[in-house]
Formats: sequence, structure tokens, C-alpha cells
Amino acid sequence: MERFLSQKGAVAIGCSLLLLLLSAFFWPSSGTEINLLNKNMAPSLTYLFGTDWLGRDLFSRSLKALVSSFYIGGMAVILSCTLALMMAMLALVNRYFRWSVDLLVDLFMSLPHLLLLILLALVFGGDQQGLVMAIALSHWPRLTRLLRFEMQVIANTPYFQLAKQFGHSPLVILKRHMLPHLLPQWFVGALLLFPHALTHMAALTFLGFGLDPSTPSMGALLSQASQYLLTGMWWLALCPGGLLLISLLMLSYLANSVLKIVREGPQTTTTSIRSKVNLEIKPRIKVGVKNA
Amino acid sequence: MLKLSNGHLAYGIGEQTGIQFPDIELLPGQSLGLFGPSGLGKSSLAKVLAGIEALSGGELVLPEKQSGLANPVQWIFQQPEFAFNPRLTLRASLEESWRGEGYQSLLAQFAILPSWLDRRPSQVSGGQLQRINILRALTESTQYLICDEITAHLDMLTQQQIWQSLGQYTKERKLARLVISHDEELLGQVCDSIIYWS
Repeated sequence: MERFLSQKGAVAIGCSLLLLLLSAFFWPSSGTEINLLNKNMAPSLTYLFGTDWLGRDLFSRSLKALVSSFYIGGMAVILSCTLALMMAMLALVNRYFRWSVDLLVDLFMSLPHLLLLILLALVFGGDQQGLVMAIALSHWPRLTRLLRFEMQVIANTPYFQLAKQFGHSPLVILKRHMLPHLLPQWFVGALLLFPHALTHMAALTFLGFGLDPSTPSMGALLSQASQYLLTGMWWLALCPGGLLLISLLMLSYLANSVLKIVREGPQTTTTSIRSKVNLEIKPRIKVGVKNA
Repeated sequence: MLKLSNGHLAYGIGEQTGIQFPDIELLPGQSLGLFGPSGLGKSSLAKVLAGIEALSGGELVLPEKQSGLANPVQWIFQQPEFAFNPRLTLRASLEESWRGEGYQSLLAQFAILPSWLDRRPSQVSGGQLQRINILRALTESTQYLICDEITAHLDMLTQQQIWQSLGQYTKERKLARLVISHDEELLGQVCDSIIYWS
């Protein structure tokens, strides 16, 4: 945490992303008011992002859509990645658990993605919670498989096997020698899953299994905008798309800086060693110059 | 006492092929050599004796394990570069087996500089790392050492230094050791008796 706070860029980006999401959450207008007198207006000072074909304020709609997308996408990603990690760890217990996990992963991966999503969305209902569950339960197998093989590689390394003879409990060994190597993979998996979850959310909404079309969501906004692009209403796609892009870029920057900290491990001694090494090398270079 | 009789390790499930181990009996304080060419399964034997892999046949008598302490039989791996978690500092790795700073008094005996310990495994040389690897196995609960080709990749001088410090220390503590090697000359120098495995 301290090391994260020392990275000024990451802190600034993190704060602005938080501020954006908070202001979007507390934005007074819900963006569902229809005003047919002001429909199809280009961006102006009154309507920052313009208005759509029903005269709804696109700025309010984009902000609300951002909040709901981040909520659903974030929840789905957290749930699905936790599930993936747990399944991969379960596969480590013994041969029979490994077979069961592999079987389950194969089963889920053999079904077409969208079909699985629709089935799950039908089971859990089409509201926000239903979408979260549908996306979470359909996206864990890929990451599980990746993590499982990664774990198998580590389990076969000499240092992991040697760690067993030092008398610590399996959980301690797992935490000390397995998880630190796995977390970067896990983190990248989660990061890649996030935009994926957003597109699937849009797909489900588009097919009528997801959210109510009048509630703003990024996927619905963009898919509806595509119908109006050829009529010259560029702001319908560009403004919400730009907002989504900027917030995703901020998120990935943030994730990258966290990833850097995770990669370097729990100890902070490398910097002190680097400075020592530099001190040793510098005089040698000076001697070389003199000789030349 | 460490005793292995008629030991067998199968590769897969229900397979007849596998490794047939020689009978081994290691008494406290004894230094036993195991000579054999590459590929016989010497490292698998080390794994079995250290309790990391289970036998598929035969009988293995191991000293009693105390909960919360390191295994009394310690396997020293031949390639120290792979024996340490690359993310941890060497100090953290030593403290993992020693459960504290008990190793500090042995640093000088094994010619280890305290400043090496703040580095990671990739930041010290192979010889330095092997000394730390040996020190890691010499915990207070250790009674038997399985030295699996521990100096095979080092130069003669470093080899000699390491065996000298290890010999002195095992004599003081009356530790038993099984020295696995394909170097007959070395076995003759450091062991009381040698088992030939072929």
C-alpha cells in the first residue's frame, strides 16, 4: 500500500477515476426523461454530449451507464476470478479433484458462450444481479484452466517440493510459494475479463435477456447508437464511447501499477541492492576512461 | 534410524516399470556414500527419503517428525538455482526452515557474508547459493542429510571448502548423511562406506 501511494501518477489516476465514478453515481438526472422538443441535438453547452432520438440528455445517460457498467462488470469479474482461483486450487488437492475440475471446465467450454449466457441469464432473471451471476458463472473456465496449469508448473519446481520438508502447513506453503507467482496472471486475467464482461452485458441486453432497454448501460447505448451513425449523429457513439475508453484506460493504468508492485514481491530490498551495485560499478568505469 | 528395504517407485498408475531402490540403512552419525551413474533415479531416492514422494512398494522407516519443526531428514538439492523461491530474499528462505535467526552463528563457518542474505537467488553466484542452500537444511531439528550431488557443478577449491565446513559441522552435531554422487573419489574422501548402485 505504501509503495502504491509513492507512485504519484497512479494515485492521481486512481483519485480521478474514483471522482468520476462518484460524481456519476450522485449525478441528479437519471437520463430517462424524454423531451421530444430537443431531440437529435449536437453537443452544446446545455447538452454536453448532445441528445438522442427521444431528446434524452446523453451526458446524464452516459454517466449513469458508466456506473452500472462498472458495477456489473466489476462484480462479475471479481466473482468469476475468485471462482477460477478456488477451482484451480481445488484441482491441486488430489488426482480425483483434478479430474473433476477438468471435466467441469471442459463441460462449460464445450457449450457456445452466448448460449450459456442466455441460459444462465434466464435462470437468474434479467436484472443487474442476474447479469452479474450469468457473466460470472460463464467466464471462469478459461482462467481456471490457465491458473491450473500455471499451478502445476510451480508444483513441479524443486523449490516448491523442497518447501514441503521445512514442516510448514500446506496452506502456508501455498501462500508463500504459489500465490505470489500466480497473482500477476490472475490479475491480468481479471483485467482482460472486464471489457469482455461489458460486451457480453451489451449482447445480452441487445438480445432482450439483460437490462430493461430504457435503463442506460454502455452496451445498450453503443449498440443503439450504431443504428443512427449513418444519419450523421456521430455524438451518439463518440461521446459515450470516449467516456468508456478514457475510464478503461485509467483502469488499466491503475491495474498496471498495482501489477508492478505485485510482481516485485512483498519485500522492498531490491532498491537498496541496486544502489550498492551502482556504487561498486561506478569507480570501475572511471578507471577505464583514464586508461583510454 | 533411516532404513529403506526393497523400495520401489512406479512412474504411473498400475505400471510395472519403475525404479527399484537399493537397500539403505543409515545410522545416526554415519556418513554413507551412494555411487551410481546418471539416470538410475538417485534424485528420486532423495525425494522418497525426504518424504516428498511416497513409495509404491517396499518398506521405509523414517525418524519421527515433530509438528511445527522442519523435517529431520533434509534433502539438499543439487542445483541451488532452482532450490530457492526466486521472489524471496535468501534471508526469508533461511528463516523459513530455521524459524528464526538461529543460523546467524553458522554464517562464518560456511563462509557466508551477511550482506548476501538481503539479495535474491539470482543475485548471488552458484557457489555462494549452494552454501546458503546447505545452511538452510542444517536446522536444529535436522538429524539426517541427503546430499544429492551438492558440489557436482562447482570447482575443486569451492568443493573442498564446502565439504570441509560440512564435515566439521556434521561431526560436531553427530548428523548422519547420505552422500549421493557419481564421483567415486569424492565419496572415498567424505564417506565411511559406499553403496554401489548399478
